[in-house]
Amino acid sequence: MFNDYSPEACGMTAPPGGTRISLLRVRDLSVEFATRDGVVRAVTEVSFDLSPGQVLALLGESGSGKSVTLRSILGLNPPVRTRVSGEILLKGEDINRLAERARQDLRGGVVSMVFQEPMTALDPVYTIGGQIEETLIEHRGLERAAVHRRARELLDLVQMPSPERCLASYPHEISGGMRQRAMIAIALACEPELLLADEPTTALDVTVQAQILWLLRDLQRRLGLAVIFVTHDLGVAAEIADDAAVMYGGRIVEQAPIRELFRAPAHPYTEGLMHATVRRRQKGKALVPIPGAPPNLAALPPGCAFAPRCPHVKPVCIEALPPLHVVASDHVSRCHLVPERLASPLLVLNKGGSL
Amino acid sequence: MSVALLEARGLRKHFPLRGGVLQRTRAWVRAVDEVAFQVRAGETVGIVGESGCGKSTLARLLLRLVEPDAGHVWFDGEDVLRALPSRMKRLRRDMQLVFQDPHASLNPRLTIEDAVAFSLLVHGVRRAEAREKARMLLGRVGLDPRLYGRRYPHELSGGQRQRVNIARALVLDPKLLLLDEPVSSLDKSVQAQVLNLLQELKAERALTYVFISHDLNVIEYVSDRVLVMYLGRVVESGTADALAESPKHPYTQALYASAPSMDPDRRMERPPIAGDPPNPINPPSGCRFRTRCAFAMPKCAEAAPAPVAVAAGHDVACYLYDEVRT
Ligand SMILES: Nc1ncnc2c1ncn2[C@@H]1O[C@H](COP(=O)(O)OP(=O)(O)OP(=O)(O)O)[C@@H](O)[C@H]1O
Ligand SMILES: Nc1ncnc2c1ncn2[C@@H]1O[C@H](COP(=O)(O)OP(=O)(O)OP(=O)(O)O)[C@@H](O)[C@H]1O
Ligand SMILES: [Mg+2]
Ligand SMILES: [Mg+2]
Repeated sequence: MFNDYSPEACGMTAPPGGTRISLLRVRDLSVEFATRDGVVRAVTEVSFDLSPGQVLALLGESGSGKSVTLRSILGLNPPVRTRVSGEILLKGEDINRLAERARQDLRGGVVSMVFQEPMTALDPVYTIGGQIEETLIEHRGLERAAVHRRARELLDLVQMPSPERCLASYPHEISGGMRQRAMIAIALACEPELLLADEPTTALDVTVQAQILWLLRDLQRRLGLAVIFVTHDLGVAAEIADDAAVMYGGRIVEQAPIRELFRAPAHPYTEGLMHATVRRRQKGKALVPIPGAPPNLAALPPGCAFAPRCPHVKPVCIEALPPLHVVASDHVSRCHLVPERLASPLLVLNKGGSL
Repeated sequence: MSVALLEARGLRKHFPLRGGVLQRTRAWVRAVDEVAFQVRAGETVGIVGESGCGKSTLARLLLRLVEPDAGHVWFDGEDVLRALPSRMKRLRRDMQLVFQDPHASLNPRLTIEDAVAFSLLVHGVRRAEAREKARMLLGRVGLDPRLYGRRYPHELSGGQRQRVNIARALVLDPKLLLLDEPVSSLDKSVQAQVLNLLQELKAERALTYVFISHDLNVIEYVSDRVLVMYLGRVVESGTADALAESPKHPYTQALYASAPSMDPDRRMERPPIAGDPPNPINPPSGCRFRTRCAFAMPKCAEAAPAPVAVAAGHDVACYLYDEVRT
């Protein structure tokens, strides 16, 4: 799953069904920004694969590098004072080596993106219908007559209430939930294979969030879409993802199938997050917060970035960057304690869904 | 039954929307309508509801930061809306608001020590004494004054800024804190720190809380009793347990069912309700939830249902519970 750790190397067999075909393959992606406060290492050596139809949640707190990772897949980082390294292979093509024109074709074709704030992503001076039609003409080369019919079909696809009226409305005239549906319709206009969704439900009310999550899951299944879903919310990830990659301080610190992540988190940060998150029926039981605050990305420590907040910290954690350890098939954790914990299962706190 | 520390009855606020050259009132935003509730000393009352349902406006009405159009507010037996300005100043000492946005609510030009000491100075406390108390409180909320006292707000993280806001609200030794989304802008790991701090402070200082949030899990966790608001009205109120175990109002049911389960094996089957909350400018007649309600009946459009007790201390404003009306 990760290039710096092959399953064979640790005596593991390949997953059943042979190697999955990868739609997206990210290898050692690093992104640095030169700022007044020094070099901000927003993303460091991030690697993962995504197969067609797979839903990956990119989980992490504010500033952990989720959006920068996502934007890198589209080559959307600011052109100046930015250093991007590593490979992003989309259907075998390295997008960092493509000319800007070819990248633009990718953006409207194979990959589309949905943002947190549809109000800023939609153009306020065009109607929703106009914006969908524009996308269709530009990227699909459809004719005017066909375009209107297709726009209407797309609004039906995202289950827009009163679609005809919506086509003629401007973004500010419709509700937040409808704007997000319109955004999704535009993203689907070019029949992408990969949808990048950056916190698409965070700005929505919980009853509307439930609708949009359900819609995205339904569309994903029907259209066989691969999705990378950025979220800071464990609950949202539990609703939508097949797998999750947890980011901390610009790195992926744990990756696992979503059930496995909830059942047996193997990184102290993930574990801490599970304990710190308020759940239903938790009244009267103490919350266990993670002490301290996230790291300064302009002054990352040489060892594990989580070490200063980690309840299990050892001297080695401060000195050396932990490698990715295999915890189970498809489950890796960047923590020095993994071998020890695997050897003596009692040390694996909270295993077995006591949460 | 103990006497309420804070009580509101029939509170209403409609904001005029003006337009045109003459700035005539074009429409009214019905932000808060006929809201009534009690907060007993030592309790935490949670107010939950979606964006724009009037939570922040309600908090401002209670403190008279916004004057209500109608209704009554009593605090500690005193009629707040009749209080003269000097008396109001005293009441605001006892009833402090922690604002929703921790970024906007701190003066960028004051060090955090000065920010916390500020209201003491306003209330005539000597400078040295004010500073001493500010430093003590900063320490109490987990910000070592020797390390953080001279910092400016932009040099703090969101969680640290929220701690400053809490210290600032406590500096006048209030009886009641109105907490408007105190943890909503914080990361989950930091949210838990602040929630624990608030629980400790409450026990230590015998505080009473009105805790506003759109996050049902947080509300359930901190509250003794909960008010559920929808488009300016309270649709249901009861103990946090009663609401969690048997929510009665169709909106409360939908709200609880919409919260993610945190369990990948128990995903939502289908969305509990369709549509967005309607615009508060022209809310639906009668029951404001009827346009999204699966149980809507003709009479729901005629008049807003009055709250009815379905159990002791558990009130629901819905015609489905009419049979229990006496
Ligand atoms: N153009 C830029 N110049 C400098 N720093 C940047 C730039 N873009 C992002 N960063 C920094 O990179 C880090 C990662 O940012 P990113 O937006 O990926 O975080 P995130 O995980 O998406 O957080 P959030 O949940 O708040 O959206 C942050 O510290 C951010 O301040
Ligand atoms: N000063 C004002 N003038 C006009 N309308 C206002 C004013 N203050 C609030 N409103 C409107 O009143 C309604 C209730 O707003 P309020 O801020 O109380 O909601 P809220 O429940 O706190 O929402 P949120 O969860 O987004 O903070 C909204 O429609 C808002 O736009
Ligand atoms: Mg982001
Ligand atoms: Mg508010």
